[in-house]
Amino acid sequence: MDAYPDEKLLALFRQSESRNYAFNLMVRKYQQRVYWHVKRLVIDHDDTNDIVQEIFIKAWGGLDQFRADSGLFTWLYRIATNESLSFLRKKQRRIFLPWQDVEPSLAASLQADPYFKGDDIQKKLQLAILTLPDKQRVVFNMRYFDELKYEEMSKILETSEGALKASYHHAVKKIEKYLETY
Amino acid sequence: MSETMQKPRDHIREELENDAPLLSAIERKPAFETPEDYFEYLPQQIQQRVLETNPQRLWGPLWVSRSFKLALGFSFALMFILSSLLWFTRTEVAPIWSLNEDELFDQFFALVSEYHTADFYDLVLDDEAYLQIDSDTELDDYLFEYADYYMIDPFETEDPIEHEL
Repeated sequence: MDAYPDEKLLALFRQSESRNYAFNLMVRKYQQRVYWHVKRLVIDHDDTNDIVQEIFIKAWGGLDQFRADSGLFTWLYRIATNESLSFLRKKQRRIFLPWQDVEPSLAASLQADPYFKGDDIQKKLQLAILTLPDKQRVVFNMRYFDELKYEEMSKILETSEGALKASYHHAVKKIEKYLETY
Repeated sequence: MSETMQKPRDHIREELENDAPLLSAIERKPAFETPEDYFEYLPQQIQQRVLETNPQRLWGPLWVSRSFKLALGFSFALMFILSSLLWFTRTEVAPIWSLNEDELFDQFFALVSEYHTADFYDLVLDDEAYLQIDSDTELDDYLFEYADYYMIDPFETEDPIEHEL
């Protein structure tokens, strides 16, 4: 897969005869990173699966206009983040209780998730992460799990590096406090 | 397949050691997994969904290209303008069965008048008479005078000029 850099994938995609092939290669190249990014935000596998498919369908629709200014990976991550946050907002509206956060629902999903294979401390960490506000959770996941540089995160989230560092710092403090408490 | 996670790098742990010792003590390892062969089949599922959602996009770059859309739009605009011009400058020709007797005569006369007028001149006006006629009224009078000759079936009578002579 490394033999196909983004530029080559995009060039192949723009030729009608290799369009499907290039798209398939792109999905195979990025599906895991996109999946885990979404999974950490929405927890449930079926929801994640739906969102990931939607992300790549949107990518298919937008690839013709994609100008590669930001890089394919950055662009896909941005779509993935937006789709995941949009899903969480819709989920919160479905709860019909404006004062109730979506966090208990996600925590319940985590407790019942058949695909969680971590130990107790890892589950505790995941529960701690779920207490964070959505955007702070995105920043923490990107830094802690995906190990993205602030510069990359800044391009994906279109936020200044300073704001992202502050956000990550607050997230770490809240998680640490949770771990101390529970 | 289990969650992929890159090999922990020192700077991530170093960042956490001072500010969050409990968090930094947690081993960073994959905590989730997927159904078996999930990533093997996901691309096919996505391709299928793309086909269902956007079948026309499989036509390729020609169909979706901006220049193609512009050309298509220009063609439609040109066709519209030409159609409008034809519509507003059209001449309505009534079907022959819908005309009354006067209209039928007018149309017939409009079509053949030039030919018949020439014939009239050739047949009726000799050079001397033509030179003496100064006005349309005089021409009408002259033609009426000889009208009898022309109302007679030309196949059954002799030439009117000769008859006069």
